[in-house]
Amino acid sequence: MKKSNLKLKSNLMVESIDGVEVKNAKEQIRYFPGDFAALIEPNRMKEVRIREKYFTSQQIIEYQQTIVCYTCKKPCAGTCQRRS
Amino acid sequence: MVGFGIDFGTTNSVAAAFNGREVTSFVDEKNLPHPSVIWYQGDSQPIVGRKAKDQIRDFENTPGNKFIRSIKSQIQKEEEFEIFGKPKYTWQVASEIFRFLKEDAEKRYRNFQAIKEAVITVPLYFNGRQRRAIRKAAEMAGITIKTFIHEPFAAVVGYLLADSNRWDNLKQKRENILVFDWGGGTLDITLVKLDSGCLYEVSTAGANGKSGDYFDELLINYVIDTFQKEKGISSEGFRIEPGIESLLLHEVEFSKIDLSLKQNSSIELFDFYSDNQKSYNLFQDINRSQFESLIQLQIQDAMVFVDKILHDARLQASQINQVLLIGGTSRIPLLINEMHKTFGLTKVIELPNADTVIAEGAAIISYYNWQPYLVQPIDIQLADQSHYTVFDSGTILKPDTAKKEVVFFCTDNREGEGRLIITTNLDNREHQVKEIINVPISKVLQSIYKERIVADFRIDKDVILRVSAKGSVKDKPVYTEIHDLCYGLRFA
Repeated sequence: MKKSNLKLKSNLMVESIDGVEVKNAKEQIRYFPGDFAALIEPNRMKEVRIREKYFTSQQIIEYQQTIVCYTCKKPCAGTCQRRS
Repeated sequence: MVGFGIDFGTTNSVAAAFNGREVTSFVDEKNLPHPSVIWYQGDSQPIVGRKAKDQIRDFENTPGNKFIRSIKSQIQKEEEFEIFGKPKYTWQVASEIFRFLKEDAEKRYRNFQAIKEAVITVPLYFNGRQRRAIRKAAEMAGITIKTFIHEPFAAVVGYLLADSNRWDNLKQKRENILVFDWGGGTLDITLVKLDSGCLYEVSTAGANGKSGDYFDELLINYVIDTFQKEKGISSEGFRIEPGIESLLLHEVEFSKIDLSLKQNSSIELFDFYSDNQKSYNLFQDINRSQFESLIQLQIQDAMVFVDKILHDARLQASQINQVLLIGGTSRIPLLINEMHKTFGLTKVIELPNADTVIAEGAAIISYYNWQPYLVQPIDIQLADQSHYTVFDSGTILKPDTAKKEVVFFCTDNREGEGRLIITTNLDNREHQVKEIINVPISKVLQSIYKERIVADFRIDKDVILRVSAKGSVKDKPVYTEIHDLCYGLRFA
């Protein structure tokens, strides 16, 4: 089976080295893919004011790309309206 | 104080000593390295070296005699032996060579103390299992291994650093040295940089097989084909006795060596083949161009490796200052011509001590107690595309100094695995993936902070990076090892 290049992307962040916690260890959620972060913290992601504070802009974009559009019923990230 | 080094080779093996002033190689009576041939005769202690090799022709076919050649290649293949009905591991057989080197040095070089510890050289691609087998073989012979060092790298050390009076001069130099080490079983090519009192490997390439032993096989096939054509014997069902085949191998090896020095060679074997009560002798002349046409492809492949090394190091052939040719197969004129074409006549150096320079380099390393350092940092790719450096360049490759436990948290557990991507980089260029370990973790959607991977990185005594990583799902960790690390040494 041919492996996707996406497989090569790491899904790990360092938490501690020889028992000593690294600087950003407590901000783990900021490294999650946006769609996954929305599954873990759905309430925070839905609330616009909170999510802008809590998540990175990259995560918000990733989350928005997964929302099913009311118009086209697909996760189109608003592109269906731009086309029309 | 004396430092000892051992070059355990596929075809020949040699030990050397360095006392801080001069290097002594423990060669045989003919001033040559010892053939890696072991001759078993029943239960008595086997005979090793030149004496064993010289008797192959007379005793190979005699019951009660067993000759083992190229044991190093068997270690690579991790095969086992049966000697007169008794099973033996390859390392047990290989230990006879270490024992012989030790005893021969004690007997004939009496002004040196016994070899109790030594630096041992290995091919670039010897993995952990193979290195462990060599360690066991040496220990069985009463030799403790101080460290392993790559064969081509040891050759550069032997070539450059034997005379410490030259070090001040070398400290000022910046050179690129290509070592082309082609022996009986392996082809190892390494680009070594000399820079500010450091010697370090920049790029390595090589292959097992398709070396001197393989050329012997090609020559055997050629000889048999020609014999069949000349005598009008069909190749269907053609079979020569195993003993005769072994003698043919012996003859062919001599012819191959001959053809590096002369234009013609001949092979003679009486009672080579018998069919329908008729016995045939083998008398065959081989000239150099016939031999060269047989090995042309392999020579081209070897030159492709040279191109790869230069490409990996982003250097042109003109930027190489010296090319060292090491190993018996490097003496083939066709190869030397190719090297001259690529690098020019003056840069290609055929060392007068090419047979012993590897062991000599190992002895020098042993004398100064040099421990190799890591040239390229070992990094882990992270989810935000940055890299975490586990061991920085310059880390001494010693078990006590190079170990780390890192806890990773997983940023996405939906695939049920944490991907530990181990990379290296040189001169801050792009990262090269060395190994990927997929560590099982739970797929269940849960509080994210639960998915952790505990990874243990350590350099072991065989100078190999061992990584074990454990997730939340399985009790047993996932293991991997990286054995082709680039080594460096600081001499001044």
